[in-house]
Amino acid sequence: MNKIILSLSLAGVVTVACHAQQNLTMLKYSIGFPMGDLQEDISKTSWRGVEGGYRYFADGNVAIGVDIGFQTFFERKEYDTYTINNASLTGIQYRYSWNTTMTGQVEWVLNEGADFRPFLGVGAGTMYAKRITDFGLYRFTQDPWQFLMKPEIGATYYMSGGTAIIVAAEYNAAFETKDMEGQSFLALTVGLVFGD
Amino acid sequence: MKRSALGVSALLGVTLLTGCYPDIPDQIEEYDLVYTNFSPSFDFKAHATYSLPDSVVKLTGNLEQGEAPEMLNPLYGDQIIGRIRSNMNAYGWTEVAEGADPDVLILPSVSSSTTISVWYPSYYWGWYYPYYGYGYGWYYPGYYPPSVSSYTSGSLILQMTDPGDPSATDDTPVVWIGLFNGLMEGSTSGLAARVTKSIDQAFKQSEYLKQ
Repeated sequence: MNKIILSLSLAGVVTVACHAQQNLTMLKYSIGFPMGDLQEDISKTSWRGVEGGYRYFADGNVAIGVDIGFQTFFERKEYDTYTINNASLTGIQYRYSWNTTMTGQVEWVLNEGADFRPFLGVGAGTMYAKRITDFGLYRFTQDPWQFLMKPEIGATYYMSGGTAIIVAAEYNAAFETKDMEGQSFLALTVGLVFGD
Repeated sequence: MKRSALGVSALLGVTLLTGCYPDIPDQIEEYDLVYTNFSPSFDFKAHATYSLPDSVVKLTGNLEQGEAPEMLNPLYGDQIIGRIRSNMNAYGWTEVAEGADPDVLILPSVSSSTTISVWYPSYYWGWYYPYYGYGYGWYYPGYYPPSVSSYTSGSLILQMTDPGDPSATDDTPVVWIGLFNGLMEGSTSGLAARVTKSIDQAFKQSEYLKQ
């Protein structure tokens, strides 16, 4: 289901025609670093992430828009014993975390009219955090929606034809729900921005 | 521009579609689990003797009252019993005959059904001291071991019971339980090695059994 939503979203992002200078679309590859409670569950860096976004320049220096991202984390835990109260359970665990992020963003962009444009932004939205733990023959799944804040910092460098390279660091700060701790992660992204 | 955008999106799409399950178990033993639990109200150090039957019961799910249970092939049963014995002795317990008033019994059983149930009828052990009859059951004082369903698993269940402490309901207290669960696949020698390893692990993670 996540894949379908994401594919449709990506298709939508790519097919949006951006003929007005105020409108930009972007597509980015993302590397994820688990933080906080997510790091306690899975400590390994994720090399599997993607993000799409749309921006509308309200004026030369302020842009608003939306981002949709998907980042997957994985770690195999070696044969080990886990004890809760009197019970002990030993085995190998395969842990997966799939995080779909959706935020509204506002950005302050410097250097109006220049090729190199650094920016600072913040966003708010939600994250569908699906955590799967395969332990022996048994699977444990949690999939809450969590409130998400996403501050970001980055820069774009415009090339010919209105296309730009974008690099950004984004902190996906997910808030705890009654079902699960916040699944926060830092994303380093690189991609292309399309406009005219 | 559209062509480059489509190229980038296709590349990212492939990354995603191959990224959800970057690795899954590919060895049978990776599915093996060992579970143990015990009664917090039972003082293991105040008990030092045990008895062990010479057969491993097969839980078939269709045993009638008075019917003799099916036993595991001694080729495998002897190995299981021997491994339990060596672990118990290593922890300082003394094996005694079943008529010599042992402090605890260890009852090994196996199941290849689709459900692990530690609540099976106790008359599976009606042939062994202290000769549980119909109507008896088990209870787990102060803890609740799992009863879970799966599809292709096999299980070895080790129950340590206290024969000298019948409850008011005539159920028998199981003061320690060890469960091994895994796929009933692979070679006979491979399965035997996994069972042996799991028995050792059950005792290893239950150091409170040490005398």
